Amino acid sequence: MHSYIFDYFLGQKKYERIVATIETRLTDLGLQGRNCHVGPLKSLRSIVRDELKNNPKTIVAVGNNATFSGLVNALEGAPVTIGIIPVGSQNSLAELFGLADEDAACTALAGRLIEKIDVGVANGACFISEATIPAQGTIIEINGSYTIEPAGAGIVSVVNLAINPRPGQSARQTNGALGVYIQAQNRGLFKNEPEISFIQTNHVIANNLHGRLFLLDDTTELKPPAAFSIAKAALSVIVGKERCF
Amino acid sequence: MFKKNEVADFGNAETIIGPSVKVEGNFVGQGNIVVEGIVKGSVKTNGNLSIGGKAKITAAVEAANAIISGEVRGNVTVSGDLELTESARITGDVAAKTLSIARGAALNGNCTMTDKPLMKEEVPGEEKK
Repeated sequence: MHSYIFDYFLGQKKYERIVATIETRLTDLGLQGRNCHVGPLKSLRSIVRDELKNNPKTIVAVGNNATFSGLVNALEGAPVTIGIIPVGSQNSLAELFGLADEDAACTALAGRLIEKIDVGVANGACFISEATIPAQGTIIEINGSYTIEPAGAGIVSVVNLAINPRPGQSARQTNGALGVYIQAQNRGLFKNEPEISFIQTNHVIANNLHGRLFLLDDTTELKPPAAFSIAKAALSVIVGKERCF
Repeated sequence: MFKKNEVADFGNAETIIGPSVKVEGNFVGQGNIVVEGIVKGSVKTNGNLSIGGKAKITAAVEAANAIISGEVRGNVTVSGDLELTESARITGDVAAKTLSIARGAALNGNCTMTDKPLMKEEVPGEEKK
């Protein structure tokens, strides 16, 4: 049986029609299941906890990146297949999975093409795509053997599955390893171009001396120091044929 | 010295240390490495190593093949081909199978040429004794 978790923001009037369309489409495809709505008195985490007791075949997040990220973190390693039906803005993860809109996502759920993906872990919190932090004041320790310190302003990204591949990056998925991208720039009189550094590793510890926070998947903030690792093929996700990895 | 399609392939670098970062510690990699920044500590890889014109490395360097255009203060050990371009500055001993030094490069140290593999290559699955 499928469980659908509708995010809180879908209660807004402007999403009424889209939600109704999704429910109709799922019924047409024979994918109807339990519809749960996140509300002021019912968090996504508590819904997932309750749903896991019913051993669902699939749990589907209906919403955006934050909904999917919340679902992944609420699973706490439970071996259940998950999916996403994108609604509204900030749906880069759905695009990564080849789900352009809600209709394509419903079709993908019917096709049930399952891909096992790696999950990045930062201080116990999961992320699918990347964790970012401003480069200034950030110190990165790789495998406990060396440290990296960016010299100028920019951004440090610890990448599991890249939404936007960087220059020189051939694949979006880093094959069981985390990619550390440092995009910093040395300000010069004539030169102001960002310079890229890239390292692949399995274990990263990063701190920021200026007290800046990590942003996981553009949704969740995390206070450094943060220890990053990777859980290989830890998540079964329903994807579309146009997936980007 | 390095012909295209021959030994040194730096196009698919698995690690890039850009000019705007500083690395401290023992940097160990498995694939091709490009260093353009400052490294205070050793650099070791089983792949190819490229040290850019603005790079500064203060410790030993080990690689399968290497092109050096920057500054190295430490011993350089290469099991294959080593190329020093005109901007290279090396203060330390150099060991390689083949060596190419461009006009203008500075090498202050002993030079050893050998056919023997200088780096110990670990075979996956082989038990360490």
